Amino acid sequence: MKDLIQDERTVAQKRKIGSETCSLLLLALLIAILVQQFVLNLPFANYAAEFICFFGACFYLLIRNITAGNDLYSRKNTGYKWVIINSLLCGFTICVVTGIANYTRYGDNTTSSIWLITLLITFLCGTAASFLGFSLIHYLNKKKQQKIADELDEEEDIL
Amino acid sequence: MKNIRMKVARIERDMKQEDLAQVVGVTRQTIGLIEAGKYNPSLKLCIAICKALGKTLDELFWEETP
Repeated sequence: MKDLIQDERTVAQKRKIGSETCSLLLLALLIAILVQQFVLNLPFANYAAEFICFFGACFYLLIRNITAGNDLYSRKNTGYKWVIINSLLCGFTICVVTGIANYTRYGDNTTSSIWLITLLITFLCGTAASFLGFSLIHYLNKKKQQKIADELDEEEDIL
Repeated sequence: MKNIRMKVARIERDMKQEDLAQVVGVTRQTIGLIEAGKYNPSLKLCIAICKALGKTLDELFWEETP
């Protein structure tokens, strides 16, 4: 029994350390991508490996959470509100990041009206693309949660 | 091994899995997995379930030796 208790603690601690390492690695990858893309202005081929690893890992995290049945939108009936908020935030972030990058590259050769129109189009496209992505995640998550609820209902009726 | 005693205690209290999950602060899936014997809850969670169902740890989680 003593061994079992010690095992539980060490296993939990090892998992936590692994999870922290994964988070740190993802953060480092993101910083590496942003620095190479926007500060050093390197071509995509230079940071393609980091890019694929970062988005591949994010995609894996997302899919594993959905297939494991973890509810990504745990607050009931507010799921779609979060899809919209996340899409707007994503659109804004894309707009700011690409806006700063474009300004440092082409700031001297553009008029302010073109600049504003470019920012607006970037924001709208970024928001729309994010909205599609988040809607798909929301749909898959909802479908999985419904499947789990149906299974639980069936089990509950068995007794 | 299925935890029938927990399921019975919950039904006696006229609670659905969702109700118990809300009182305890976990998802319905977690309650379902505990009842189905597919998840080992922590002591903290066991105590919270016992309090919610008005039972002792022995009554819900102690396995009688045959």
